[in-house]
Amino acid sequence: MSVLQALFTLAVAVTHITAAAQAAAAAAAGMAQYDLTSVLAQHLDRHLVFPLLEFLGSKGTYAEKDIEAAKLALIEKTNMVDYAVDIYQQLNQTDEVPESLRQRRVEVVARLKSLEAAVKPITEFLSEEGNVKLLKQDKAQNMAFLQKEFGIGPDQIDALYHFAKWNFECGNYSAAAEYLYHYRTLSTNPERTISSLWGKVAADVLLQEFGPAMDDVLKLKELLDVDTFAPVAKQLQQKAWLMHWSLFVFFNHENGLNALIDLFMQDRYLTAIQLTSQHLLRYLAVAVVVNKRRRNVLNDLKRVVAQEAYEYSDPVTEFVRCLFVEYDFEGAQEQLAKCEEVLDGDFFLVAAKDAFMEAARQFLFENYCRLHQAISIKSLSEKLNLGEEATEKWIVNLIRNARLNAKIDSKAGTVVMQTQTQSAYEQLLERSRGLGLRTIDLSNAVFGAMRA
Amino acid sequence: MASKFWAASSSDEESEDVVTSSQEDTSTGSGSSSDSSSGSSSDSSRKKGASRFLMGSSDSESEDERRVVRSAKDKAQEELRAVCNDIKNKMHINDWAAIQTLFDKLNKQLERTQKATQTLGVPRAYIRLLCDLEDFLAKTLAEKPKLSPTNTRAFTRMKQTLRKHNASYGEQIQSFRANPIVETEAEDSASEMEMTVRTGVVQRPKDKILLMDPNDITYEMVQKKLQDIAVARGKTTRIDRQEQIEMLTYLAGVTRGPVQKVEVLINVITVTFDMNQPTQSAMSVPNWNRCAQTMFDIMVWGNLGAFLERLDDEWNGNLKARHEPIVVADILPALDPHANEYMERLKDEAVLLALAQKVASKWLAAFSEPLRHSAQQMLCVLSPISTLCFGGLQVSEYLMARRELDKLAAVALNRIQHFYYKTDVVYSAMRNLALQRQKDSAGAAPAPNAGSDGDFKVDGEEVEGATGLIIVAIPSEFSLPESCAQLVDQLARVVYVHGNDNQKGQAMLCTVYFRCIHDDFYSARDTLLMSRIQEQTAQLDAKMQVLYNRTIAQLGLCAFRTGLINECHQALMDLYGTGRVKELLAQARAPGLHPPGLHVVTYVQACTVRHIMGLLLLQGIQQHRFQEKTPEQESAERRRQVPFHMHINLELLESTYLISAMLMEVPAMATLHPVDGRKRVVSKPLRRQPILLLEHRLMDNYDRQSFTGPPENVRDHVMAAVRALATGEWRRSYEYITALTCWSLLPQVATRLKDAVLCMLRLKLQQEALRTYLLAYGRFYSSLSITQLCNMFELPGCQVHAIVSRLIVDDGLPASHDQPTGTVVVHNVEPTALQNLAGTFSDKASLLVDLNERALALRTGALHTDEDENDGRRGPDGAQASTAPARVADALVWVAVWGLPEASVVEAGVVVAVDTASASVATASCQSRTLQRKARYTISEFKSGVFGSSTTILT
Repeated sequence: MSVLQALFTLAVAVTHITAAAQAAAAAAAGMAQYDLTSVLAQHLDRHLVFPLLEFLGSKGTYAEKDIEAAKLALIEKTNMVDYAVDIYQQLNQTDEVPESLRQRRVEVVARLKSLEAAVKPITEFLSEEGNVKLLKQDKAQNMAFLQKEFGIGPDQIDALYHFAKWNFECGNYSAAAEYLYHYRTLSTNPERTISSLWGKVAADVLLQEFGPAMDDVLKLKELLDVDTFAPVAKQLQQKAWLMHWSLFVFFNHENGLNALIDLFMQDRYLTAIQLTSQHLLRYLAVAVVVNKRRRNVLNDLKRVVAQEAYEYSDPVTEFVRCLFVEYDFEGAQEQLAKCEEVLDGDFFLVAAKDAFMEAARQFLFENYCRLHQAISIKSLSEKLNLGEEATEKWIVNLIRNARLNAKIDSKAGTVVMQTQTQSAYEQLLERSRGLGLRTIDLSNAVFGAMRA
Repeated sequence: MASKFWAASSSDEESEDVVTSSQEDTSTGSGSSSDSSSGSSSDSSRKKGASRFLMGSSDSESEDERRVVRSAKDKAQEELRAVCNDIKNKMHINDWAAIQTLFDKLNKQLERTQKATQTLGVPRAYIRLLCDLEDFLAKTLAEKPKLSPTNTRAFTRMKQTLRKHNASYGEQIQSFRANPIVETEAEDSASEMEMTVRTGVVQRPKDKILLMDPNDITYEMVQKKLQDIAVARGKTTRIDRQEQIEMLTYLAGVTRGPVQKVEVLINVITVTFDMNQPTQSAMSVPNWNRCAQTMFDIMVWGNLGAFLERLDDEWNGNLKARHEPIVVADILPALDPHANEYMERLKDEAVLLALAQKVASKWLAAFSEPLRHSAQQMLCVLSPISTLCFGGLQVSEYLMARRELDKLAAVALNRIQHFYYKTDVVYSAMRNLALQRQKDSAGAAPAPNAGSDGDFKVDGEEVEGATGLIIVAIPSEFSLPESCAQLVDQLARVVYVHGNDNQKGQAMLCTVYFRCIHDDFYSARDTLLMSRIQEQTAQLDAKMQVLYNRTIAQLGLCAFRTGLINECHQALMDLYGTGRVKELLAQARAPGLHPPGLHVVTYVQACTVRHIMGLLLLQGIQQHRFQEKTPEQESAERRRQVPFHMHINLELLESTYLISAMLMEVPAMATLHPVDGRKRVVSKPLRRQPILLLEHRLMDNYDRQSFTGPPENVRDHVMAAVRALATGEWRRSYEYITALTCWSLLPQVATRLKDAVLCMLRLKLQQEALRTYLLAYGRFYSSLSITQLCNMFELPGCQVHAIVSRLIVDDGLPASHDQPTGTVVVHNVEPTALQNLAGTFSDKASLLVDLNERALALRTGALHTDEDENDGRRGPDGAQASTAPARVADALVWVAVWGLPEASVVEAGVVVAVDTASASVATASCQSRTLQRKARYTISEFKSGVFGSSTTILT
């Protein structure tokens, strides 16, 4: 892993600190049992961990103090020195500023001075509105042009990269995003282009601009997919990173869940999940369950969840396993109750909680109905965690929406499924369906081949 | 030819008594031989050179015996002479063709004679004939008489043969030519056979160095002696190594300075190593002990790694086969594993381990010392020995130490190989034993260690067959940690860091094996799969292949204990698919004519990274069946054998495999063979069912028997269990299974484990019986009460519910639950005959389209994708059948069931090859011709139910 790469990715140290803090707290709070923050943090940039910690703080899962300590550990290595000082003072209830931070501040400022000087030609160039338009597609030509007209050489462009990085470290994400954008148009160094793209994604995420972030994630994915000659370990790691980073985007973008399924279900990425980050299955499971249109991936999900059950399990994956693999409806029921809590405590999933619960309940019910010909409403209401009245309403709604082929027998207090056993005739039709179409395709192919 | 004689008698201990007796015979019989017995101090049996090979039986034998032996000898002599005369006659008429055949006969006769007379000499008559032939040849060559074409050909060939042949008898021929008359007379007169002897009859005078006062022996003298021995080494096999060793041990006592002593000791080891050929026989125990002791003594210099390895090999060899007859070609009886001797030998493992540890720590020290204080080290000379070791440590020495680090991996691997197959119980037993021995030897330490040559004095007794007289002391610094897992882990790390690919692979397999026997299935499997070693099994050497197969077997056992029936079945399927488990695990050699091709069981990863454990049988080293084994193959095979204490119990393995197969197959069979005998129309027949035809075949055999007695062996038991299970009688099935004796052999003897495994089996049997019952008899009910099912199968209600649900969804059981009444309602409508026919027709039609599509795809290069994509990941329980055999089976089943024309079979065969081996389309079509043949072959095999071999189509 190149140094450059590391620029925009996380120093692992932080995870130890958060983990330690959490371990202390975990004993106290049962909810922490399913908290993934420390695991996720291993694959995230420092700055990206920050929102997670904020979220944890707001939930009160862990002791306030632990969270603050973790934050401090997180920021210490960044350039946000003033903020770090604030937290330090708050944490230790003092007014004094630790020597290390003071020194750090001096360094940061000095670095700024030198970078600003180096970067000046470019920033001036870029600040002129019309100048950017002068640039062409051909990067080599641009270089020559800049060199000639504005005295901007590779050194300056390099400096631009570092300047962007410095800005990012200072929490000045919008500037970082902008500089990185320009850097990418100018740079010819492929490795740094990738690094800058990582940086751009992070900056966009932190700026909450999920549209561009989504684009960048896809671009990044393409770049990574092309890079098949890298060592396997590196490829795996990068894929894991990409998946983790993209969680921010996917769960905030309107079409995010679809994109998430697309990305995670790709063979290579699924492999990466199975090998390095099984906990991502939680997100995949939620996405699949919520996303009703993608039922076809359910089989894959079932398989992976069942396979990885020994490596990773939480209520969400257990729910999937109980329902689809074991057909253990009571177990699924229990797990679903726990899911609510888990989703509530998860930074990414908290927004999808209601949709998930609703969809999961429906899944449960549908599967249950598929296997039964008559169900008493009473037991159903228990299973659905609703009152009898509400259950009846719920079922009526389902029937009305034609999702369910059933009738309510209110005298017996049951729902009667209209069993849909196929007659022999239907079976035959089912079997020979598509034969005609396939044959036509075939003959087309044959004649097409002959013509060509 | 000559070398063969020598190999047979070379320095084996067993040949010693022959020497003794023949020597006495010589001193009385022929005066020409020496006065050797006079000066020899230690033992008179150490006669050298000629005497030992002189023909003749011992004088100590009684007259009667002599007569019997004589007559046999005489007869042989007569025949030999008769052939000689024949040849002479033919020489007169210039019949070279006859001469040639007779000459071959003569050589055979000679061999027989030598066997009869128990000597290696050559009769004079033979030598004379050789001379005559040579002369005659020269004469014919000079005269160039007219010869018929056959004769000319025979003549030229004879010329070449004789030139080559006579070269090996040059000495005798010369001496014969020098003195022909005397020999002739002697021969005529003596009724007793006389033999010339190939080697010179030179008795080496007793070394005077032995007689000297030790104080007078100088450095130079010892050095010279040492050089003599070194020069003799490897040059000839004739030198008596025993004598050399005695000389060396003596020298070790009288050396001047530690450097020389070490040098001498190293020579002791090398000479001992030369005393046997590792390919043929293992080192004798006393020799082994001597080497070990000597190595403890040196520990500073020389190629310790290589020495260690050799010792280890010898130790293993010793366990495999000890009492070897001299005749190498015979099948050697292994050391009886239950004999006391075997146990005794096993105890020596501690010595080996101690040695290995010492070597390793030595190297580590040598490596880190120079790092820390190379300069001081040079200055502070601790002791003469360490001077030798560290005195010259400079930069270059440091580099040398680095190189040693590579060998460190070898030693670490060596140590792993002593641990990886040990369960905790065995390990702690060994540990206790080692510690005990260490304590013992600590008490007795000063005596043997002070004067190391003291030990060697004992050697003389080994001739009388006393074994284990040298008890190697285990040094006090030797230690074994409490937990074996930690140790193995540590050692594996060393190998991973310093080793080469082969070593790393072995270490990895060993760790996997170790984890398997410690019931850590998932980590074992993941390690194995991530190493991707299964992709390169063909490149592995035989030793690795065996280790690999053993690991897979152990993985299967582990999966079984953990209750992962499917995984167990997949792991063991290949092993049993070949029907040659013993050879695959190197636990027995194939009988004479059936040499085992050393297969490698492959544990292939299909589409995604892990977990899909499809299997494909590859062939590593394939030999042809029904072919005589050469001695080399024979001995190679012998060396592959795993010593008994490392064996995997085959009975347990077989029960495990069969039971796992049973649990998977019986429900599947219930769907395929409905009880009322009518074939049910299942829409996609047999597709992707994990059919184990082996099981079917067994079943068929079993059914065909008119009378079935009570079960005797494992197979009987399982078959009986299968029969019971097929009708849903899980209790009877369970009884049969528990009746197997091998459960007490579960690796960890603790009864707790046995109970746990049986408990798991009981549960599985209950579940599978329920499934089978519903599949087979469900159709006869319109509803089944869940509570009744619970009672029948002793399962809790929710589990029955889950199982029924799964049957409905996955296996297409036409039923549904009725929750208010707690019953399972079966909606089964038997189709009418017309509907059946229509169903069949539609299936055939779709099959036709399928095949057409595939045929087209083959032609155009674009495979019909969505079907193939689905193959890889079917079924949540991992019952993926995208494996080659299943695919072939599919294709063939289509054919067998639907009776399609053969042409489409071929297509199917080709397509299968394309799909599975993912070979390019182009090559597949090239191969279509051979496949065509094979496909036809396979169909017939398939029909006859021989499934195992049909997999070969793909390899």
